[in-house]
Amino acid sequence: MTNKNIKVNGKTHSVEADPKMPLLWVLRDLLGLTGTKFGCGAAHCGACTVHLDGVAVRSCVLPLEAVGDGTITTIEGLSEKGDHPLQRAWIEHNVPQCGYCQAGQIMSAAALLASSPEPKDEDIDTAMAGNICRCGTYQRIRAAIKTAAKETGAKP
Amino acid sequence: MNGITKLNRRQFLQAGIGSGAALALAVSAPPAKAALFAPPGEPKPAFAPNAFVSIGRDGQVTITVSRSEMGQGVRTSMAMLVAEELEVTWQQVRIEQATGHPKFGNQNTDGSRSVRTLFQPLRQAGAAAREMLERAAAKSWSCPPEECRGAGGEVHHKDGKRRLAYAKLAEAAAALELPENPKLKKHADFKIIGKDIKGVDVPDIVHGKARYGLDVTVPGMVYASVEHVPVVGATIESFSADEAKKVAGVLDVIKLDSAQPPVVFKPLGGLAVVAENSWAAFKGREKLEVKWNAGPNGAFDTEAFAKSMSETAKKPGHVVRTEGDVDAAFAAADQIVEGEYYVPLLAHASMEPPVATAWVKADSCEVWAPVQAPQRTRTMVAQMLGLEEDRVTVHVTLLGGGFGRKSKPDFVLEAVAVSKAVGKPVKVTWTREDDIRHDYYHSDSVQYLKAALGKDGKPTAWLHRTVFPSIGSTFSPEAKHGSEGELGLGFSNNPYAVPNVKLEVGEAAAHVRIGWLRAVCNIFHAFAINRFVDKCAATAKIDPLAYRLDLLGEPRDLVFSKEEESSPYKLNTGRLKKVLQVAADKAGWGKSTPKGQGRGIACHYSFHSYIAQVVHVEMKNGDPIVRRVDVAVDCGTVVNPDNVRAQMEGAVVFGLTLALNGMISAREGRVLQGNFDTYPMLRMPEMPEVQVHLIESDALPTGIGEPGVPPLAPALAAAIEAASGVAVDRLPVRPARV
Ligand code: FES
Ligand code: FES
Repeated sequence: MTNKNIKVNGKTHSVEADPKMPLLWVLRDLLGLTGTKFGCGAAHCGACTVHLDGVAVRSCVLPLEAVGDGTITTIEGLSEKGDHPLQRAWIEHNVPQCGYCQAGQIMSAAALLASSPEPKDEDIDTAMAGNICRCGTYQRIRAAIKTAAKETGAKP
Repeated sequence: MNGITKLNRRQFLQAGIGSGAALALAVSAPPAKAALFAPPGEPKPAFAPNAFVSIGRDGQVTITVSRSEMGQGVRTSMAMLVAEELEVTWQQVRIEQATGHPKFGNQNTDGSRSVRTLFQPLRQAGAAAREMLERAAAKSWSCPPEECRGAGGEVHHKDGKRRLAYAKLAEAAAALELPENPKLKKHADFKIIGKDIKGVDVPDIVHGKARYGLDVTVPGMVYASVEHVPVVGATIESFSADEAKKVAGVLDVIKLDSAQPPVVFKPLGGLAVVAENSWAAFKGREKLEVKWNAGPNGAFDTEAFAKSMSETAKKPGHVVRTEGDVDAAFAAADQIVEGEYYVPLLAHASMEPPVATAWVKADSCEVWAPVQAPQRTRTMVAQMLGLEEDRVTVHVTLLGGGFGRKSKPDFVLEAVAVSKAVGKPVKVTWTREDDIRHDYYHSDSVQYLKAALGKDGKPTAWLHRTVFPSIGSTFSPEAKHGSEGELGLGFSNNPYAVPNVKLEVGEAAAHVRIGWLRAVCNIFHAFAINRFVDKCAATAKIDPLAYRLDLLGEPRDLVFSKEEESSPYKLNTGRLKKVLQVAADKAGWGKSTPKGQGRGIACHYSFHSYIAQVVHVEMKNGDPIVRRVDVAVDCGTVVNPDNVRAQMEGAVVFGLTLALNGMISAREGRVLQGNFDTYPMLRMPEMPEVQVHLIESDALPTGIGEPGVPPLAPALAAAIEAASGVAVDRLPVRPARV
């Protein structure tokens, strides 16, 4: 057990946990941030994707001790007003079916747009290949990413 | 069976009266707000004429949805049906989720039938409420009710001047008699039905606020994970939990009895590690030492079993349907075509694994779980605890996918058993490995077909034998072969017109739990029949589309059983031909493709809907890259077109996943796959372009959640054959990863 401060969505939390506990369970069970999901526990599905210093990571395999001083962003903190271009595009394209994978999808897509504001199809394939959607919403995810990219790309 | 149809109309309209539904909200709600549970201690709504509609004094319109949302869009479409006839705008509606309770009629969310069976009753529930509000307005204006009309959440007088909001009328309406026969709108007057309405839960989902079974927290709750028996029916010979209990955060280890046949929905059994958090429970499990008695299924081997099914399929089975004399026709035939087709066991792999939270108290129990069958869950929890049903509350969360897996409440009963043992609320989370290794699998099957072709290349005789372990085996070990219901899923209702037909079912025992999976037996029946039709067409040198259109014959209704004679849902060959033609036209059927590419077509009728698909494939190093899929769908009246499109897109992915990679195999009774590395899902780079073509129709609405799945695998196989010359008669297309 260690006592550790972690920064999540702009707030610092003090947690007491096994340093090997994956960030996913720290977020969900200790901090009550349940927007990030569990799908495989083995970095196969992307349901648990969050940002560590802006980079998409699979929180199910990221031990608490590896977070260091890094800044964590989860779906709950992706945008202050809930109006990230991807969130709006996801609504516009009515992307989700069951919705369970979508937090992870959006977090992966957000990291993609941050590093490549006008992604090509191949970029989307690569960035999103780690996120499974069992309901099969890939076509809409691709369309929504393009809509959001257009909007962010249009900004100066 | 649908409970709603068992209630007569009056009972249905009265359902839930005086039940203290307490659903209205005191706060004003933003547009079409979705919620799961009403906060406790809320005032009773002023007007709640039935279990589905309530209106508060503040005008809040609440629609309670009785079926479970697993991505098929039911919370949206059911609410649309009520709102349409209630005459409120979509923005005025707030949606809540029903707990499991008989007052809602049948709540089982399966068989692609929520909209089909509730299309009429839910509109009547809305219309009844609206008529009462109109009569309340008439009373206050002292005019005949015919002069009053509900629209946009208000009652308008025909003078065009007077109007009263529903909120003002709610109390007066509550005092009135329920209308005997509420009048429904003409389809042409629909304002909400038929429009693209976005999923009501989408805003919560994209903000991480939607609540699934995994997200439930209850004060004082502990967490658990279960090391399940490795084989169904296995027992614990000996175990030591000493090391497990040393893991920081582990609180207790509880032995759970193992399920013996009939397994039904009993918890599988094993050792539950109870801990302060999920991670500690998982870690504790790794430290358990267990010796199992594998039991009677300990020798199960899927490969050997497939061989035995193939042997069975070569011999006559129980006759299911017979017309003419197939033996005589085979003896006289110019040409004989034979085929054998295999589809392995499949797992549901819903994105959210099974998970349930239970709180067993002194004389009651509360559970929160992603279940497709909340009433069944409630009944079984009550039985297990020896409680009256009204002491058990089943809160239905959103389901992170279901596909039939969450129709079985075994995982809820497991949580109940653990909560009872520890005396605390507990959340039991299945790992992905638990999910893949301990599923209620989709049956593996072998299909044998034989046809005699006449001079014109058309079949003169058709023999089809189907062999698969029945879902019935889960309920009764005596079930030796597929039931009438299972055989009705694309086998006994084969629509092709052949003069001599014999359909038989062979025996197959089950060694794992068998259950419903999206589209059920239609998957292997559609695969075999479409593949075999293609083979006959190729032998006859006739285009597979033309061959199908010809074999379906004149547009007409087909009847396969006595009950179907009076059914409004008969298989109509003309509608099946229409979807074939539309899919083919849109996909450019018949146009040439570059070398190494090809198209395949397939059609299937299931859940009373008609689907045809054309798959376009390009071969790269022997592996198929799916470029495009055209889907034509006739599901009668379309309630929410965008949702139908989404379900078809999803079904294409589900079908591709099972066709390309879907395989569960077992050796020594143990399932070899465990996670998405060995049970792979389709991913973004493999997603083809999907074009969905809706057939306009004012026929009764029919299923959309499942029917898109069956035609995909045979259409893909046909495309691969067209592109490469390789016949795919066994699934999956790609080799297994174990
Ligand atoms: S839960 Fe982390 S990648 Fe699947
Ligand atoms: S929306 Fe259900 S898994 Fe993606």
